[in-house]
Amino acid sequence: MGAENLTTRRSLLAVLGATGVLAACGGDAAPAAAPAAQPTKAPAATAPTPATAATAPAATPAANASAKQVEIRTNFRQGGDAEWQNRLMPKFMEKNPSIKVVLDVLPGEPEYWAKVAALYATGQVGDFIWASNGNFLGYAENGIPRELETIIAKDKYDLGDYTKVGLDNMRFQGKLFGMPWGSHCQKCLVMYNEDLLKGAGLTIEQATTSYDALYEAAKKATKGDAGSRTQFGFLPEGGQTSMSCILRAFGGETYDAAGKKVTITDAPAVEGLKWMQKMWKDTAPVFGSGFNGDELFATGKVAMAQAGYGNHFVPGEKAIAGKFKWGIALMPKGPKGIVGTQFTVNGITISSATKQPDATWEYMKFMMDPVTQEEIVLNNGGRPAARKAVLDNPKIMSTVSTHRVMRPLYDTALGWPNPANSRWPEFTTTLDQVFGPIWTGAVEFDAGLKNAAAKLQEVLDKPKS
Amino acid sequence: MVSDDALRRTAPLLAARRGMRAKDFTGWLWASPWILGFVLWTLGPMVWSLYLAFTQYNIIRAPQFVGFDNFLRAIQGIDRLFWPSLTRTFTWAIVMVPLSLTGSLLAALLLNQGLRGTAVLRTLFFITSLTPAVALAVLWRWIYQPDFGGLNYVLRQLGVVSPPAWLADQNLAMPSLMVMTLWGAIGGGTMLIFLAGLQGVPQELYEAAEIDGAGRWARFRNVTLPMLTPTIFFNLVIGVIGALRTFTTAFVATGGGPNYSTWFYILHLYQTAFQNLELGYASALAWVFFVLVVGLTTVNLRMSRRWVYYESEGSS
Repeated sequence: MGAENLTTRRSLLAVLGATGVLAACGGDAAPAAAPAAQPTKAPAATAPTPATAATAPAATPAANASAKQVEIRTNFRQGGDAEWQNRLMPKFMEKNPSIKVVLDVLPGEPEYWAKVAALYATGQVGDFIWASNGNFLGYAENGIPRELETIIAKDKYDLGDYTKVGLDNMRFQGKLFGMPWGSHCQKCLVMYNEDLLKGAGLTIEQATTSYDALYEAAKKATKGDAGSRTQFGFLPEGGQTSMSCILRAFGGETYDAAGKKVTITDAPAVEGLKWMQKMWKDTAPVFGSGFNGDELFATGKVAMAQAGYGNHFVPGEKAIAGKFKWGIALMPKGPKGIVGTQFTVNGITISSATKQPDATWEYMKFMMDPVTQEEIVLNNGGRPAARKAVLDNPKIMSTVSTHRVMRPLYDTALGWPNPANSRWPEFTTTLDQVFGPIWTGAVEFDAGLKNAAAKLQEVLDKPKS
Repeated sequence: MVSDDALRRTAPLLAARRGMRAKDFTGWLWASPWILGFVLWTLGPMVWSLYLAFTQYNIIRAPQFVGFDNFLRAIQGIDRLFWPSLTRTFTWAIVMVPLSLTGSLLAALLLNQGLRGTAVLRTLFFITSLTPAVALAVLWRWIYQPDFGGLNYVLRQLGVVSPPAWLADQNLAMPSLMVMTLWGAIGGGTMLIFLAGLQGVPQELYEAAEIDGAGRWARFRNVTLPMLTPTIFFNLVIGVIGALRTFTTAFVATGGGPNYSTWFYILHLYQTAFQNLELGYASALAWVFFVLVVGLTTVNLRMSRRWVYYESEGSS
C-alpha cells in the first residue's frame, strides 16, 4: 500500500515535472506575459525592445504609432551573404528604429532552395528572401515572392538608374519580382600570372586577342604532359554559366531562348566546345580531379584562368602575397565579335506572405542604396547592384580590379537563359556529369557530345517539379 | 454477496494488479520522451513520406495524388538514373562489406596478440575512423589528384610514366572511392567490436584445443571464428546497411561523377529531393530503398540461424 502510494506520488511529480519542462520549452509564453508589468516608455528616437513596444499602452495615438516597432525576418544563405547581413542590419535599424530586422541563416544551395520552399509552405518564410538566378524563377512561378511594381509605384521609387538586363533578370511574366542586389557577368575574365606569361615570352594583350591566340598562349605556358603537368597554361571553369560565356563568344548557346531545346550541337556551340576540350586536354589539370582553381592559381603554377568578379578577392593579393605579379583582363572576343557573358543576379525579393511589405521594402531600398552597396562591394560582401550609381562608383572602380575590367560588359551583357521547366540546377549538374568524359578525352568528342545533348535534352523535356 | 474467503483470495491479486498498473504507468512515463520523439520525428515523418510517395509534391504546392506513378517511374526506368544508381550501390556494398569486415577482423586479431605497444597501435588504427568523412574526402581528393597529388608523385618516382587519373577516370573513380573509404573503415568501430568479441572468447577453449594438438590456423578456424560469429553477424548487418547508405564521400570527393560513375542511390535521392524539389518522387525512392534494406536485413537474420553460434544457447 505504502509502495503503491509512493509510486503514485512519484508519477504525479513526474507528470508535473514533465509539464514544467514542456512549459519551459514553449519559450514564447514568458515574453508575452512579462511586458505587462513593464513601464511604457518607448522613445521614438531609439529602438525599443519588441516586448516593450508590443505592450506599451501609449498616452496618445501619435505616441503609440511612433513607439510601435515592426519586425521583419530575412532569409539568406549561409556564408558571406549572411555574415554581411549581420553587419548591415544594425546600421539599418539605427536609421529605422521602428523596424527590427531578424536574420534567419539558411544552408547553402541546393538545400537553401528546398528550405525556403519548406518555410514558405509552412508559413514561416522570411519577409525578405535572397534568391539567385539559380532558382529565382522557380520561386516566382510558385508564388513565393510578391511582385514589386505596385510597391515601387506607390513609393515613386525611380528605377531609371538600374540596368535593363539587371531588372530583366528579376522579371517573371513581364513583372518585376525582385531587385538585382548583386550582379556580375559571370566568367568572362582572365586572371593571369604576369611572371609566368613573361617566362613564356607572352603578354596578356597578345594572349587575349582571340580564342586561338589564347589557346596558343596557354599551350606555350604549359609544362609537362597531360596528367603530370607541373605548370598550367589555362584553367577553364565548369558549369553551365562558365560554358555559356565561351559558347556565346562563338555565337552559340546551351539551349534556345524558350528554354526547351538543347543547342550544344549547333555549329557555333560545337566550335566553342571544341575549343574548351582543347584547353582541358592540352593546358589544364585533369577535369574533375578535385583541384581548387583559386588555390592552384595562388601557388604560382597557373599562367591564366577563366575568372569572375570574385577573383579580385579570392585568391586575391592576400593569398598571393607578392609571390608573383598578377592581373585581370577580359576574355577575348570570340568569332561572334563579343566577349561572352551570362548576366547573373543574386536577387533580393519580398515574400508574398509578408505582413510587413512596407517595412520590408524599406530594408530592400537600404540594401540597394549606393552607400550600402559601396561598403558591401569594397569588402567582398557581395557583387554590385545592377545600377549605374553603384557600377560607376569611383571608389569601386579604382579599388576592385575585376569590377574595373568587367564594368563595360554590364551594359551589353547577355541575360540568364532559364529552362522552360525551371530545372536549371538539374541542368547544370547534368552538364558537368556528361561533359566530364569529353574534357578528359575518355570518349570521342562527337560521340560524347551526342550523348551529352541527349542527356541534357532529357532534363529540358521533364515537366516542372 | 462476496464471501470473506473470496475477498481474502482476490485482495492480494487486485493489489498486485494496481501495483503493476502504477509501475506500468511509471515505466511508460519514463519512456515517454523517447516514444514522443520517435512518434514525432521518426514514425510521423515516415508515415507522411509514405503518403507523399504517392503524390507529386514540390513542397510549395499541395501534394497531388498520382497513385503508383512515382514507383513506376523508378521501376520502369523512366528515371534513367534509378537502376544504375541502385546497381552501383549494391555493387559497392557487395565489395565493401566483405573487405571492411575482413580488414577489421585482421586488424583486431593483430591488436589482440598482446604485442608490445598495442595501446599505441590501437590508437593509430582507430584514429583513421575519427577523421570526419568530409575531411577524409578532401584529403584523399588531393592524394588522388593526377597532376600534383601525392599518389601519382610516388608512382612517377617508381617509374610509372603516365599514372592513372583516379577519381577523374570514370572506370577508376569507384575503386578509388573504395580504397579511400576502407582507409577509414578498417580501423574503426567495426574493429573495436571485433576486438571486444575476441576478448570474450574463453581462454580454456584455446587451451583445450592446444592440448588436442590444434595449431594456430586450426584454433582460429575451430575456436575463434565460431565464437566470433555473433559479432561477425552484428557487424555484417550494420555494415550492409551502412554501405547501402553511402553518400558523403561521393558527394564531396566526386559529386557523383565522372559521368555518374559514383552516383549512388542516396545521392540520387538527395538530388531529387533537394535540388530538383521532387519530394513526392524522392519519398518513393526512399520507400523503395527502405523495403530493400528491410528485406535484406530479414534475409540476413534468417540466414544467421545457419551459421551464427550463440554459446548461451549451446547450439547453432
